[in-house]
Amino acid sequence: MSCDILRNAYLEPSFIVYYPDIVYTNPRIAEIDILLLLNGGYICIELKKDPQESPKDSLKFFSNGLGSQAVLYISSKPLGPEVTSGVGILNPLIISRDNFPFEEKLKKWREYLTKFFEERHKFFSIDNFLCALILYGSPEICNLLLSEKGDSDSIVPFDRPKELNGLIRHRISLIKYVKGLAPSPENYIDKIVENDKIESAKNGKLVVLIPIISPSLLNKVAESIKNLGKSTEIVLLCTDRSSDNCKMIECELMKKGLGKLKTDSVKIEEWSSRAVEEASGGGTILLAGEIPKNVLIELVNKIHEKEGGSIELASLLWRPVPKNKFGEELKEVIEGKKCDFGLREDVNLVFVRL
Amino acid sequence: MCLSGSDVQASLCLRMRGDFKPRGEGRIAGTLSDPWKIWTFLTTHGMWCQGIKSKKMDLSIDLLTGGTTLLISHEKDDYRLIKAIESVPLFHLAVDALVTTKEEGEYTSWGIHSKIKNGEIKAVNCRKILEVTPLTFHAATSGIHRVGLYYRIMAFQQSLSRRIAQALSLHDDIPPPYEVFSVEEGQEICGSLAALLSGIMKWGRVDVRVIREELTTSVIKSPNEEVLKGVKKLLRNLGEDVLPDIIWNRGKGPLLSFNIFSNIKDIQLEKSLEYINEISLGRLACYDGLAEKFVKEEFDLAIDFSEQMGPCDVYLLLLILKERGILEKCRKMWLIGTPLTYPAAMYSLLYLRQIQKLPLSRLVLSSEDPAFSEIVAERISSEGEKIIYIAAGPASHVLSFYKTLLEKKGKENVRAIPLSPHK
Repeated sequence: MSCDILRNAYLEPSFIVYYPDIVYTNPRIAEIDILLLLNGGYICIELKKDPQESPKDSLKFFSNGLGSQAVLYISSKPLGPEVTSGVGILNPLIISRDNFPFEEKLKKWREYLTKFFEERHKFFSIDNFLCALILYGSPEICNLLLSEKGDSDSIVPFDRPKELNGLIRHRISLIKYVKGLAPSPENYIDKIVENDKIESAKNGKLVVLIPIISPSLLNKVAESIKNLGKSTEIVLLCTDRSSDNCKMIECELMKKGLGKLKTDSVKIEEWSSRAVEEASGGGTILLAGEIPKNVLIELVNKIHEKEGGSIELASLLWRPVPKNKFGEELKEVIEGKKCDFGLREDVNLVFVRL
Repeated sequence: MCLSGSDVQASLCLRMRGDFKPRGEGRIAGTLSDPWKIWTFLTTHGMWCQGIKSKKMDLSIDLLTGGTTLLISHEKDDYRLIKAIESVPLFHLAVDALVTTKEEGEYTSWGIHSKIKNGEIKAVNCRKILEVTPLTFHAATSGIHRVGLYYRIMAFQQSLSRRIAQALSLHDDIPPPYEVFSVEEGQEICGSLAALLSGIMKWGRVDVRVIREELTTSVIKSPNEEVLKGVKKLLRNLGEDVLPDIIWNRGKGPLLSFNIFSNIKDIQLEKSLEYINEISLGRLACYDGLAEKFVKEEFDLAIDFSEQMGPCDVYLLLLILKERGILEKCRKMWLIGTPLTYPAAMYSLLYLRQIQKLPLSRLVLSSEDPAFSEIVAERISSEGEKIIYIAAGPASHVLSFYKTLLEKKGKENVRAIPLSPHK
C-alpha cells in the first residue's frame, strides 16, 4: 500500500455525518479516533481491535450525500498479507501499526505535536465537537468504547454516570453550556488563553457588527475584541436596538486601554453598506453575535461585488481550549497506549476567519 | 362558552398513531420505519434509531398543572434503553413521571416498578385520547430548555400548517406533514397546543442564566405572570374543539385566534393568546411576500435550517414553489442541518420523502465551523447549475456557506433568500 493512494484524495474532517441512520447501525469502534492534518486536508485515524472488519462496520464506510469519506485504520496488531486492504480510496484503508506507510510522517507529526495541537485548535470548533459527540455518544459505540462487556449486554451505562468515560461526560457538559442548555461546567476556564491569539485580524481596520448580546457575554466579547485589535483601528457598528450593548463594550475596551476606537449607530438597512465602506481597503468585518439574515446576505453580496476588495469576514465562535499545550494524550494514542481524554479541553469565544 | 375555573383534575392523553409506513426502501425509510423509532430518534437527538418495542406508549398531560406522565410498556430488555434515554443529559426526554410496565411476566427485572402491572396506571380523569404525530409526542415529552420549547413550537406549527397555508392563500394540494402520519388535524392541534402550554407553564424551570449565555437572537421571551395565568386557563379548557383560525394581514404576519374564546372578555386569556401568537407564529412573517423572490428557472434548492424550523417550513416552501409554477424546475432539495438542528431536518426529510412526485431530496449535516460549511457548500455547488439558497441557519454558517457558493458558482448562478422575519 502506497502513500500515493492518498496523494490526490479529497480528505474531509472525520466528523461529517450525512446519514446518521447508517452511522448508528454499524458501531464497532474500539478506540476514539484522532485527527491529523495531511497535505492540507484532514485525515481520520481510527485504532481498531479488528481492522479487517472495517469494511463491514466502519462509521465512515459509506458514500454520504456529498461524496465518500476517507478513513484510515491502524491495527493494534500486525496484519498478515491476506487481510491487508486492497481497496481504493473510496473505501477505508486498513494498515497495521507495524507496517504503517506513514511511519516516517507519524514520527514527524510526533515531533511537531505542539504545532499540530495549535493547528487542530483552529479547525476543531465546538460544532465539530458536537458532531463528535453525536458520533461517539451513540450508546452502542460508547458501550464498545467504554465497557468491557460483550455484545450481549449492549446498553451504554448512561444510567450509571460514574461508569461513563470522562471525555463523554465533559463533552456533554461543554456542549450543554455553549448551546444554552446548562450552566457552565465546574472547571470551565473563564479567560482567553494564549492559544486564542493564533488567529487575529489583519493589520487593516476591524469593523465589529454589534447585535443584541446577552449582558453576561458582553465582557467575553469585549475581551475577544481587545485581544484582536491591539494594533488596529476598531469600529463598533450597532443599530438603535443594540446601542446599549455597544456602549458597554466600548466602555470595557476603553478601560482596557484601546486607543483607536470609534463607534456608530446606523439604521439596520444601512448596516451592511456602512460596514463594507468602513472595511474597504483591507479591513475585516467581525460578527459579534447573531445578525439578521438579510443583512448577512447583503454583506456577502457587497463584498463579492467589490472589485479587488480584500475585505475579510470573521465571526466569534465557541472553540475548545486545550488544557495541555503539548498534547501528551495524543502522543500516547499515537504510540498505541490507551489514555484518558477526559477533561483535556475547555471552551472559549475565539476569532474565526470565514 | 364560559371558562372552566374548576380545580378538578383532568388530563389529555397523547398517543402516537401506529399505522405510519415510510415510502420506498431507502436508508431513511429503513431507519425511521415506525413512529416509535422516529420518537426515539428525536428524543435521543439522532443518536439512537433502534426504537423501543412498546405496545403501549401514552403521555398524560395534567390540565391543571401541565405535568406530564409517560407510560411505556416494554419487552424484556428495553427497560435499560428507557432508563438510558432518561438519563443522558443531552437527550431530550424530560417528563415529570416515567412509568414503565413489562409486557410479559410478572415483574420487571430492574425492580423499582416491579409492583406496577399493565392497567394499574391510568391518566386521571382522562378527557380525551389524542392520536398525534411522533413530532408532537416528542415535543410533549421534551425537556424544559430552549431546544425543548423550540420542538413544542415546531409541533404546533406543524399542526397548523394547512391553516397557515390557507391564510397565505397558498393552494393546498400537497398533504401537510401531519397527514402523512394519518393523523387528524383537530387531534394534532389539540395535542401540540397542550404540549406547548404545558411547556410554557413550566417556564419557571428554564434556567434563564443559560438562555442569556447564548449568542443568538432567537431566544424566546419569557411569559409574564399575566400570561402564565392565561395559559393556565387555556390549558384547563383544552379539548379537541379548540381549533384556531389564522388570518394573515400582508406586512403584519399571521394572527392566531380561537373562535371558541372570542366572546370571553378576559385580559389574562387575551395576553396569553398574544404571547402564543408571537412565539409560535411570529417567525413565520418571513413567508410574507417570499413567493415573489423566486424566479422561473431550473435550480437546486438548499434549505439551511434554523433551530425553530421544521416540517411546516418545508411544506410552506413546497407550496410556494408550486404556486409560482416552479416546483418541477427544482432538480434537487438539500436540507442542511447543523448539529443542533439536524434531527428536525431529518424528520422534515422523512416528510418530504412521503410525498410523491417531488424532486430528489437529501439531508446534509454541516457545521458553524467554516472548515465544515465551506466543504459542504463546495460539494453542493458542484452539482446543479443554479442554486437557490434559503438562508436561515446560524450567522457564521450563512456567511461562510453563501460566500463559498458565490465564489464557486458566480453571482449569476446563486440566489440567496434570507428566511428571516427581520425586514
